[in-house]
Amino acid sequence: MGDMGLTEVFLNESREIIGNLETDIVTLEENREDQEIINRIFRYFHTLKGSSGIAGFNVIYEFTHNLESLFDKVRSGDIAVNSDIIDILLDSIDWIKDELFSEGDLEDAGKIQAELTERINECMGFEPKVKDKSVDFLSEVGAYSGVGSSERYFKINAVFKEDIYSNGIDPLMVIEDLSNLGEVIVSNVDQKKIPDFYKMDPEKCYMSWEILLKTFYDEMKLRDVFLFVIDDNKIEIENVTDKYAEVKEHGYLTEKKLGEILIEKGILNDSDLEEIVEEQKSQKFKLGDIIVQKGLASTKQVDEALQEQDKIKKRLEVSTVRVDSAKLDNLMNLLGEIVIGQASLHRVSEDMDEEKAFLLKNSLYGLDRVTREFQEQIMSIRMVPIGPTFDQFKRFVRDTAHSLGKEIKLKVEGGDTELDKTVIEKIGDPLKHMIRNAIGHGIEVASERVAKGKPSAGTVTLKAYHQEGNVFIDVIDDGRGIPLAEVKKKGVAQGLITEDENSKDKILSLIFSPGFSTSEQVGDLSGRGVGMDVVKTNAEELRGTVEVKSKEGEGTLIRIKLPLTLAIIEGMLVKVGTSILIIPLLSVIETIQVKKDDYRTVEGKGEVILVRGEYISLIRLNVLFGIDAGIQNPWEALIVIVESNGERVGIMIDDLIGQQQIVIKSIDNFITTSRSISGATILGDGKVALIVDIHGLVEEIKNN
Amino acid sequence: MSKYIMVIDDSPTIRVSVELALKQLGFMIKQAENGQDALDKISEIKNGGDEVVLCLSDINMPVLNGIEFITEFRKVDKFTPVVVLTTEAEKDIIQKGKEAGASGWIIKPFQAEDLLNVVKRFVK
Repeated sequence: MGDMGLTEVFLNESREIIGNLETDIVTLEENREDQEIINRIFRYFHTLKGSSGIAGFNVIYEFTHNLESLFDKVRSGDIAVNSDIIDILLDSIDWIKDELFSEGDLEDAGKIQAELTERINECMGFEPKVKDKSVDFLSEVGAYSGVGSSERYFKINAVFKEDIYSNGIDPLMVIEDLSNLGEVIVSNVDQKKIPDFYKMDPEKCYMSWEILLKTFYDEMKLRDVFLFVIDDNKIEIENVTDKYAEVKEHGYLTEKKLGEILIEKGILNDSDLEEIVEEQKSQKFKLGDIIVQKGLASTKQVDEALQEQDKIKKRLEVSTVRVDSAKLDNLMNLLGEIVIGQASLHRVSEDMDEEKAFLLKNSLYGLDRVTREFQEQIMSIRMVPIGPTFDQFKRFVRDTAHSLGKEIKLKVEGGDTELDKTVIEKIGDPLKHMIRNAIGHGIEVASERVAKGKPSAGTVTLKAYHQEGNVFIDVIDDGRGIPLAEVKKKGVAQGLITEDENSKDKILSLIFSPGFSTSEQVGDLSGRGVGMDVVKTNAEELRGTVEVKSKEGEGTLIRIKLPLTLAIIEGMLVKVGTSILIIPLLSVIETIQVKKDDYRTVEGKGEVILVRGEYISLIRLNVLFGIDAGIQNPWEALIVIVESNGERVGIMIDDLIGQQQIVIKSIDNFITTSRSISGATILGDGKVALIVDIHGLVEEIKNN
Repeated sequence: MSKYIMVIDDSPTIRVSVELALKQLGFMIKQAENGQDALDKISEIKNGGDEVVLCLSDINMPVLNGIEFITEFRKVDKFTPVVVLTTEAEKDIIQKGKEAGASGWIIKPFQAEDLLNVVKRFVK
């Protein structure tokens, strides 16, 4: 095939298949019962379907799927070949040919396809389907879906059939796959069935496994591991989370008793055990001693069982130490110093001769890895679950709802999602604001809800989860939503937007403006808007963002997105004039160079550049910060494209210096009040560099 | 000694896409148009002192179909995994494949990532 692209291969193949199909269909018209030809036509459609799906021709895939189904019925004799079918086939082939090989767009292609599909369905005796495409707002924002991040325990019993190897399957690989999903707490291999050495057939599998697995995945994921073996082998997966969950409370597992283990091992049977337990009650001897004494098991067997019991206990034991959180902060600071020290060593290595620099750099990379892991560990110590914070809102929701005469249910998801302690402390108040707003202004009174066909009790969902290195906290209500028209009116009146602003997101985000409220009533609860700017400010202090989604009549979602780490970030070092500045890597989309033609000045918008068909604002940091300028012409400089809240801007820089871990040192307000600076750091050579706050920068640009 | 993955399908599109998806694993890849072609190429590989570590085979093929291929292949090679490439419509085929000695299956059309996940289960 050489270097031929997949599309080309597919088009060649299709051309050949279509040619063959045309010949066969014409033959079929004359010999309507020729099974061989029918089979062949079926196979052609089948192949075409498979290939088009792989090559990404989805329209052809859907269409040939219908043809394949039709011909499956012809092949099995359910439908007889008639002139209608021949017509459909020939028309379909024409359509496929047009779709694949015609130059330019075909206006009617969609219509013809729909007609043909209808004819095919008619032949197969299907009723035309009416597709319901409306997805309701609440399920779209995930109000009903769980976050599923909690620990689960599964007991897996895997007995493979003896000749499993001759299906090319190695049970060990399956077991290994399983262990990759979590932590194997206990793994017992039953070797009883292994015959004597000289009788053993090395091509057979005699062993079976019993595994206790701790995992964050659900049962589906586990079944997936056994996908290829579950039907033909004895695979039992039991969710034993309830049984083991109490481990957390009691500190160890009391469930598995010595007798149970012995029964599982097949040494004792149920009635033996009952008898012994009775005896133990009267004699006060240890269970193991009685068993040995009665000759039901050897001392060795009992010892083994006891060891196993101990093993389970140890694996499940959770021990904790209480530590003053100031000590953790201190630890984090010290680690920050190590990171800075490392950066300075990296710098030293640049001035050394090549051989020595190589050696130093190699050990430094090793050290980098360890510090990164070290950092993760410290971070994880600082992490606490958000559950208790969520729980304290239960009372608040009850009281607030009560005072307003509303019925509210509070649903909490992902309480075990962990956040940095500082974040938890700072997020409580904003969350309270959001919940209060949801109850006060989102959810309607029962009578109004019933009139709208909603359940009389409103639901407020609190949800926390991890995604792509961020923590998300959602507050969702199934109330009346935010009245877009009113918000717009108010926004125009306050001069925040112009009359011709039609972007829904932009209008909705007005609720975060200070002093913005659309509520007509003045009650003891704030209107939606008062307080929302506080939510936003608090989230931004934690380097997070807030977004709002709403559908009138259906509900509102407010989503806080926070970074996982607070103290150390990945940063991009850039040079502007004589200064070195740091841009957080998370905000960077790409770095580009622009052509002279793509740069212009637009009235009212200032300097802009054309990036991928879109004009975005160009920012000169030297102007913004009043520092020395380097390169003056945008087409000679590098442009870093950054994004904040969906808004993209280009930052003009002289040069890229590199990328490294940055320890954030905060700057007090008496030094800077610029929103565009979030902090400073110490570079490898001891110099101080400022960290650009992309979010603040974009806001500042918008306001000026 | 080179390690080969056999890709057996009468559709060149499928063969090429599988080859493209598996390239990154670092195995040699040999395409075959049908079961007979595959058997010939496998014995060629083995006679050259190389090894076949996995076969990916379509079912619906001319000359020698997938089930026939697996049956023949198992006569000469008991342990090398064979993964069946099948479509949603052919789920009963999976059972027939397993009876003939197939190790697993993947439903067409598939994403490169899904294919890689399945293949990685059988070859390390």
